Amino acid sequence: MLHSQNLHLSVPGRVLCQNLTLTLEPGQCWAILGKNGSGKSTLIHALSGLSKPVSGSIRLDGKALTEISRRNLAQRIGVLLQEESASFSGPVLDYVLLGRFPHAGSWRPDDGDLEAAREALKQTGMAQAQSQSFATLSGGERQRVRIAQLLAQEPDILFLDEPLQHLDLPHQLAMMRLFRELADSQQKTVVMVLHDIFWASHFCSHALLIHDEGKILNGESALMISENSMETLYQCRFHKIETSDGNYFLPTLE
Amino acid sequence: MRSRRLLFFGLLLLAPTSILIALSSGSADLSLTQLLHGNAAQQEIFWQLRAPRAASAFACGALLALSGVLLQVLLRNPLADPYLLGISGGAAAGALGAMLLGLAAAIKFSAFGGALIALLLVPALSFRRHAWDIHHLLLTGIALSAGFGALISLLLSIAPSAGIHGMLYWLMGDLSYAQSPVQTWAALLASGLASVLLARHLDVLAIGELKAKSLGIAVLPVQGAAYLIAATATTAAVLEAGSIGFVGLVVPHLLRLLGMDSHRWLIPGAILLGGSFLTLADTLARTLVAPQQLPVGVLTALTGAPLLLFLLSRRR
Repeated sequence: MLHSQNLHLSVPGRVLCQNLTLTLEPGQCWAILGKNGSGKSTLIHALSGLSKPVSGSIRLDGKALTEISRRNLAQRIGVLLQEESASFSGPVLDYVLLGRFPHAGSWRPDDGDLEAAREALKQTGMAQAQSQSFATLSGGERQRVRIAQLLAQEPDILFLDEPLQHLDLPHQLAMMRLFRELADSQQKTVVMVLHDIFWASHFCSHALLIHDEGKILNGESALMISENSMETLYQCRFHKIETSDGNYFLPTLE
Repeated sequence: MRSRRLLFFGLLLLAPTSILIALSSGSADLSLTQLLHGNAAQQEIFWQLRAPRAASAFACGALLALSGVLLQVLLRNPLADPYLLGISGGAAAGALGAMLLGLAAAIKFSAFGGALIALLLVPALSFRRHAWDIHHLLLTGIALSAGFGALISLLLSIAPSAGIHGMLYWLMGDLSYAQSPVQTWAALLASGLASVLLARHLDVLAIGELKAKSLGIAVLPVQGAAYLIAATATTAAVLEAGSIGFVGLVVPHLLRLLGMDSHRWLIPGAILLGGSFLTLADTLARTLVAPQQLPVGVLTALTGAPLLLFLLSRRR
């Protein structure tokens, strides 16, 4: 269980989050929604311990993140970053195996690591590419391999910053099913930044809306996501399209 | 995977071969049996001249290649080079200063002082707000190198013409004054072992600092260790042989192109290939226009520059 108390986040010249008290529990699947630049990535970095908040505390099962070693933290919390600064020139399987680092016993990956990496690639539908060079993959394939690396890490809490970027619609659906399944059957906590309201309302149990000036609302997604709340959040008008699968929100063209 | 093992096996064979070639070639053509069981003069050529020089050449090449590998990860730049951070510039300025003052005995000491100044100054100037700004590190190193370069030009321009020849040889890199293979090998063993222990950390660090942090890497200590090992390796090589160029740049790059991406393979591979490359280059430098000797740095640059251009043209 990850608990934040009176969390305060800012970037130079702007407050992104004020007095956020939030509890993330096993089995929950969270969507973080908000406009560009509202602080979604900054919030993920703070909650996962990658950056220090201005003030407030974040505790993992009652222990402050700052008191947990990097390695132990990486065994519990994993992050899919929105962007990766460096490239990787080796094969896909080697890239996914890097996700096993927090569990590494010896100086080279063992059979358990290999098994976890292969299973993760299977889950994201990239098993056939395991010996291909990572650099030759398309953007969408690369994204699925990056997700596989996070799965191979086997953390209890998964933070995903725009996990669906570069993916085609069928693969977006497959990944959303996979994330929900992790929460439902393995009791993982999944927290992801999404830009698609339908995926958020259909697959996420909870939603966190980041408004301007650091005002944050959070709760069960069924209560949080409505035509009104979305129009306030994104400051634009939406068409609501009702289907047998649920409601779609699309911006009006005026 | 199999080709990686095959390549590594080839490198394992290349290393002793290069040393044997270095030992048996020279102005006196000696066979191996003559080297080992020859008369007193032949024994002296072997023990006093060829063996220490071959040992120094191998260790320097290995140190430079190792330093290149580490700096290429640290600076996130596949074209980073051991001399980018001003260490060789500092050492050269120190050595030339001692030569100019006629302090022949203090050359090494003074070179070490110069290297140490660069080694400490560059990270200190690039450390900002409790974090190491790697781009800043690169720029600081380049700026400091340029400053040392100007100082070296100044020293050359005011030096008496009799002393210039020795200075130029130092700047180009030359193994004919290599006298301390034992210290150089000690530096190689220590830095080689330390970097092999760091190999898996380096693999993770290579995919980005933030991602490495999320995977459990204590980024700053690992960066600091990589920097220290690279700086030690560069300093040891430069003190023994002057500024031999291109080994640290070309060797790691070549191995990466051949599929050695993981540092578990890349580090030992670079040590073997860098050592063999410089040993062979130095043998050529001794024998090509014998009895004249060429500075080996000229040969490594002459072979390294076209090789690098070829590799660059193959980059996508």
